[in-house]
Amino acid sequence: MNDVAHETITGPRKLVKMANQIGDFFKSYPEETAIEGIRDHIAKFWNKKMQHELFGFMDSEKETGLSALVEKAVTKLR
Amino acid sequence: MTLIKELDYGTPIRVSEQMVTLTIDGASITVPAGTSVMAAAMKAGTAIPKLCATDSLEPFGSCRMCLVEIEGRRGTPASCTTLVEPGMVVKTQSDNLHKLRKGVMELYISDHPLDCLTCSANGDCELQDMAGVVGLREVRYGKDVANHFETTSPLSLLKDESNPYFTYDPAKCIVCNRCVRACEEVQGTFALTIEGRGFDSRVSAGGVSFLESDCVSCGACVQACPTATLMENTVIAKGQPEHSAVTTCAYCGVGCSFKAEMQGDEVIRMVPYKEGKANEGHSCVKGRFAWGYATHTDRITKPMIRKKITDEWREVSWDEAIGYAASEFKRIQKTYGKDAVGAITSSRCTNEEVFLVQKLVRAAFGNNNVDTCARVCHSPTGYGLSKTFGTSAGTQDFKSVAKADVVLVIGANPTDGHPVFASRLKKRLRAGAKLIVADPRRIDLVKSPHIKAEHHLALLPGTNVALLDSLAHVVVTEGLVNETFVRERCEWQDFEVWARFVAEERNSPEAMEAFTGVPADEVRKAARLYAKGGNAAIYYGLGVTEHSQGSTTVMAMANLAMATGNIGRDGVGVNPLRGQNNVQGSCDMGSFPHEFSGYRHVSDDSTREMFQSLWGVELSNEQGLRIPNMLDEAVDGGFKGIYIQGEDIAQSDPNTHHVTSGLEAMECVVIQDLFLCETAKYAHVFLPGSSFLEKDGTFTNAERRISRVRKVMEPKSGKAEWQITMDLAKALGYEMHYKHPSEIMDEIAALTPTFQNVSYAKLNEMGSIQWPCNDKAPEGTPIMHVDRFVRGKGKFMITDYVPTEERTGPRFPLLLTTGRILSQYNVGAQTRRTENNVWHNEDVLEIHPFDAEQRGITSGDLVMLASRAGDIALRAEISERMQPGVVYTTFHHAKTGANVITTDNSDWATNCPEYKVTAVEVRRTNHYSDWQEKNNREEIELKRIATSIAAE
Ligand code: SF4
Ligand code: SF4
Ligand code: SF4
Ligand code: FES
Repeated sequence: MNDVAHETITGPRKLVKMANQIGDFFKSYPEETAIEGIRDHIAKFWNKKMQHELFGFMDSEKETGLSALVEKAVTKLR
Repeated sequence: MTLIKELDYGTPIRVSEQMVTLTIDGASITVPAGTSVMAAAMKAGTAIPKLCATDSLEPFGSCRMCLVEIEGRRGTPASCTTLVEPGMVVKTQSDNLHKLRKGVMELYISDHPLDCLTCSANGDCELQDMAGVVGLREVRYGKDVANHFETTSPLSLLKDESNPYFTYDPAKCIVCNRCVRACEEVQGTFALTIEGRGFDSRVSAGGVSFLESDCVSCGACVQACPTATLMENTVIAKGQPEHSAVTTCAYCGVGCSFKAEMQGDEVIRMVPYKEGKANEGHSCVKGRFAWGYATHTDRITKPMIRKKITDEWREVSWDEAIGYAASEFKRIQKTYGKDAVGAITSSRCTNEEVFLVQKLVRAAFGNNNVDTCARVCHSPTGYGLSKTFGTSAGTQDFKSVAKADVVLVIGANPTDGHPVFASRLKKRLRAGAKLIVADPRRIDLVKSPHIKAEHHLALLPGTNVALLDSLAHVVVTEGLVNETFVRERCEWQDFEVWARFVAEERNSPEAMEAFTGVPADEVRKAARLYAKGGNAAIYYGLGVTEHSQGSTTVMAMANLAMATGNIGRDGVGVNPLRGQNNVQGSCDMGSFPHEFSGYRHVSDDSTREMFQSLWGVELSNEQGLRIPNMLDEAVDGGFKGIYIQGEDIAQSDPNTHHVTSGLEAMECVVIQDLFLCETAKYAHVFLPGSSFLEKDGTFTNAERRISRVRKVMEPKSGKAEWQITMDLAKALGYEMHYKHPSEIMDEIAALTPTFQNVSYAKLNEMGSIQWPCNDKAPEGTPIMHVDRFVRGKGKFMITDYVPTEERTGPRFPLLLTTGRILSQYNVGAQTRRTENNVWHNEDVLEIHPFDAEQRGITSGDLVMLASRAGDIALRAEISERMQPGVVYTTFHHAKTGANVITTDNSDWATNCPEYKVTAVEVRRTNHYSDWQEKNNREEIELKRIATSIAAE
């Protein structure tokens, strides 16, 4: 069955996906709490290199794919 | 060392506030009300003769050996079925009793072969013992009637040798019924019956052989049998053991305690230990019988190295192997930076071994790149429970289930995954507790002999949160909240926010039905039962955690338990059923990139300073990489070296393509394992590990119970695993000085508040300890959060349902979910190397008849299973346990490659992979997949070992 294209996202796109997933959990909280929750989670669980890779991606790309909420939280983290 | 023999009180030990004093043979004794005369006598030191009684079973009163005389009562009552009464005066010996017992014995022996000298039970036979006790000297009957033991006799039956581990020899059966009762009362399988009547009767596995029957080979009947009728094959082959040591099962998270019974350094059998609090004398087929892998010829016992993975392995000395690994790690760190290396610890290793590996990473590598395989199973448990309750562990001991009135089992299949706990649970259910099962499959618990779930919520994979939110919706909107509990014990404000959230119409069972597929009415009924049915307990497994919303689900369960006040006492709680034996332990030991032992973040200065001062080295305050992040980094080129302790990530972790490309991109992969596992194909250094029989240490089970593992044979490789890690650390430039694993535990205790009072001395004295064990709880903590939550007040979390990105569509219309079966364990490295293969020798795809028919598939067909990540071929099995649209397989066999299919979607909080939901298509095929073909080739190519050139 070689017609199946195997898809695995890597690099910054994967980080964006992970960050958005975190955002999805916190989005039902009031915005302030949500932003703090997302910021804190990334600060605690992602190593510095992953964090910097995401920052770099935000600087270089116009369309990062990050949700607005996550973008705010990550900006606060920097 | 001697052979440990436990006292048999004849009937179960009862607990009661009320005490009764009576006189037995002139001496006064006080026992709890409900105790039998037999057990009371045993407590007073007198063993009344018995055959049909044993203390794991309810009294039966059939053999008439245990007769006694009681003042004021006529006749000679059986002491096993007679309960003590205040002031009772009992005589266990008299001429009359002696005569009666001798008569009974004579009858038994008249239909029993007199081949004691050549019998496998010789030296361990209760019938033999009783003949001795009653002074039997001759047998007058039976000479001219048909018996069961002479092969020429019309009553003689053939031996049943179908089970690979034990034999049933009907010639020796005394029809005491102990096996039948053990199968019912202890195991709960109901596989055995007595067939025929009177003198003709014999034990039968339902009219078929043991192997064909419902028997799950737990061994309870073998243990209960007082004669050689049911006997372990190893004892038949080798004879009785002469010494034993108490140790802990190395398989699942139940953590059963066993006596390893030995002849010299050879294991004769593993017998469940009655004093073991996790199992109280019960076992399953894995721990009881499947230990043969430990001496399997596939064991690698010499260190090996190779430059490239395509090279042959070369056996070398320990010094050379460790020296090479260290020099490679140092070179990599010099070339690519300090963070380019890391380690993975194993949940199959002891606490002490795991602690050393994380210490090596932090102190010798100088980074925090250490993670454990719990990442891929129960990391959401840790996260979810610590957010809500404040601690990363289950709340109860296993025994607590005996006090539950309602049990909610969600995403777990205990009869296969955690069999000994399942037996406890079934016992409670037979006694009347109600069961709710939430699982996409119709697992055995839903309906099995004498068990029927009140509600089976057959949800679609990936909708746990939707289901739990709708259960919570009913609790809140129908006024079923335990407000007193919530006000007293929880953060009220968080509760209010949460209650408003779940009360929203979109969280109602009616609205959620569209996602879960579970009829709203059924959900409402289940919620009412859970909230109002008395003590309600939740037990869950990987069907909860291994989802993109795994952590959210854990929080949702915690919310539900808090809202209904089902936390902090016997019979309630939120309880993870852990996959591997030491999952809890490996998490506790700080094998996380962001946490030290005891779950303290590496950025916490005071904690770090404590470790720094004891370890005498500067530690990094920046969290390291988790397993999936390590692999991502490796693929991207930034992560180059890894030390893997007893884990087989190439088979166990999702999206095999991604895992193996990560491993292939590394320059130094060091494996410490028993076998050349799948991951070893990508390794450069192989350090031979030891089996649990070869080590001293501790495991911590799902109840937080720390139990000793005791060495019964020397490590086959000549080096204990903790010594390997110590030597590697030294070669990396960091010295550790331990002379025994107990000293490692002392260091853990000194550095970890929840382990403060744990020591080998205390473990020897108490048998096992449930952490926290410190000055506040010197004897350990069976039940957590009793008066207050560990975090102070319980915190409700909002758990919005977010559907996984893994959706079905035209290309992949079915959902695949994965699990495991009783006889195999995890990646199968151990169980596949035992006779357990007679029950399961390949992974199959279970598919509903409807889906099968549409695709022209019949049972036994080879089918192609494809997902976005990859494709494999395996045999199909049509099964009504499945719901239409959902297929299921296990991942026990490396050659199947089930994880070629699973994707790298993962839990939002912990990156625990989403094994349980993959969109797939299934169709008939006549060939294996490219991956499987390649894997078969590599199985040979990448595992070659050089044959030694010159004999030294
Ligand atoms: S081994 Fe266990 S399941 Fe099988 S017959 Fe004996 S008690 Fe029953
Ligand atoms: S097989 Fe053993 S336990 Fe079962 S009835 Fe016969 S003697 Fe008793
Ligand atoms: S239930 Fe688990 S711990 Fe107990 S014997 Fe079976 S595998 Fe071992
Ligand atoms: S032991 Fe009491 S009747 Fe058999």
